[in-house]
Amino acid sequence: MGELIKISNLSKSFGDIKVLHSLDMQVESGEVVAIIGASGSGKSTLVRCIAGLEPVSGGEILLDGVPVVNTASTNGKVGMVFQNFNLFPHYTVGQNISMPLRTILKMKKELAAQKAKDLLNKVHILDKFEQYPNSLSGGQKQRLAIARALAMEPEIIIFDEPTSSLDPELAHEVFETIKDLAKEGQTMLIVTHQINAVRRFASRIVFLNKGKIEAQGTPDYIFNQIDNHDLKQFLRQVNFEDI
Amino acid sequence: MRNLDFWVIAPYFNLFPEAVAITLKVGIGGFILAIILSIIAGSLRTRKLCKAVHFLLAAYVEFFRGTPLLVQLFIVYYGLPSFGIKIGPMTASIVTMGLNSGAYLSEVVRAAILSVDRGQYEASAMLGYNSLQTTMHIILPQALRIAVPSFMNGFSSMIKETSLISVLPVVELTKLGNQIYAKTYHPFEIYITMAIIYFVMTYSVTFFAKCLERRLSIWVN
Ligand SMILES: Nc1ncnc2c1ncn2[C@@H]1O[C@H](COP(=O)(O)OP(=O)(O)O)[C@@H](O)[C@H]1O
Ligand SMILES: [Mg+2]
Repeated sequence: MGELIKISNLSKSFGDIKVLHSLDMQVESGEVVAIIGASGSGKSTLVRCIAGLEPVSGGEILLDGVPVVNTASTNGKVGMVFQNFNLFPHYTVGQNISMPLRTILKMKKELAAQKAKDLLNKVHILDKFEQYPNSLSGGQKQRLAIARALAMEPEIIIFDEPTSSLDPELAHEVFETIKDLAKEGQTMLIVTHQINAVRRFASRIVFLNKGKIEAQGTPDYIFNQIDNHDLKQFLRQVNFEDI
Repeated sequence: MRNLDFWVIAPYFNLFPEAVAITLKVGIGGFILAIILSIIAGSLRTRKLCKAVHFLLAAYVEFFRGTPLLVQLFIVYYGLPSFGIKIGPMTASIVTMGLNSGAYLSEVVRAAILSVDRGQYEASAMLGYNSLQTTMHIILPQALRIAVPSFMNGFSSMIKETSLISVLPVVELTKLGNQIYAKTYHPFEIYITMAIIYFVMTYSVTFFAKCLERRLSIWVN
């Protein structure tokens, strides 16, 4: 499988504050990469740069060989699922999926509605088709956001702490959906603190520490083999919070 | 104290529909123009554009907010003809009221657009919306939903302010009142009647606004 994302020597600063320090990273298509790290370590900044939402300060991000400079340059290849959902409140659940298809891809109304139904069925909220997002639970909102991202058939979906604002049971629903996608071979990049949830299906875990990749490898390597002081301390801390 | 006698107005009732129609025509026409202008000016002011455009938009808003409507009316109706632009009193009224209210409402639209969450822009961009599509399909519908109560207040004010156009050669409600007064000398009865008619119109707008807000509130966050 080919290299979908190639990041070389990436740096990012906000004013005088250096957030990412000459970072190198690759994502192959079909991989599910989890990004973990303490709050403020630069996880959001990294994925937002990959998405084109933040301009980079140095280095380069290639998506399918094309440099990412803004959201337009990702050309619909990157989908994003946000912590606070960012659903469109003025559209019904069905329209949240069908309207982007109609507006951007000029898809026919019936076709777009059918695609919306298929995707809502896939994330188990087809019965909410006619309702507005404000009537959904947090978990349902996030599953709708995932379905909306899937509709554009992106090559990679980025999740930035998709379950951080959810209760544990609702977070579980969302991770079940993400796990289903992993089984289908969807390439994903998942920033999360719920490492116990992602270790079951992540192909690789990247530990970000103070804007640098401190360690990376298979879940087994990260959890059982590697001996890294900062990582061990971080894992202890999150495991404690997870309970 | 003199006895009230509303019957003195009766002979002039046949003149009312025409006057009400003119009042409504100017009120509704001006309001529609104000909506269009305010959406265009309000949206443009939230965007990164060249300085000249921003200066012109700011000048428009500040001029119409900082000078009396009556003076604006005179400028448009009496002043423009000296530049070879001749317009009738009705058109002058609609244009002036539209420009005036549009200036106020553009600030409402601008504030409403700025109050839409940044996440909406990011979600749109990630799905592939371009900037114009984001504004038209995602941001404006939400901003206008926020602006509806202010728009309806603006409409209500506009109907009341149409009484100012009685200074132009147009027989709208207030002018009709003046004319009947000149013939009957019963000011109280006449102007109370006019006030009631204005009230019925503005109250209808308020009532309609409440219904509209209730309908729109189903998708509010
Ligand atoms: N838009 C911004 N402006 C200034 N500083 C920022 C901005 N976004 C993030 N930062 C800073 O960058 C650092 C990393 O933030 P972030 O990438 O959000 O970390 P994480 O997602 O790992 O918690 C933090 O110190 C944060 O304060
Ligand atoms: Mg973050």
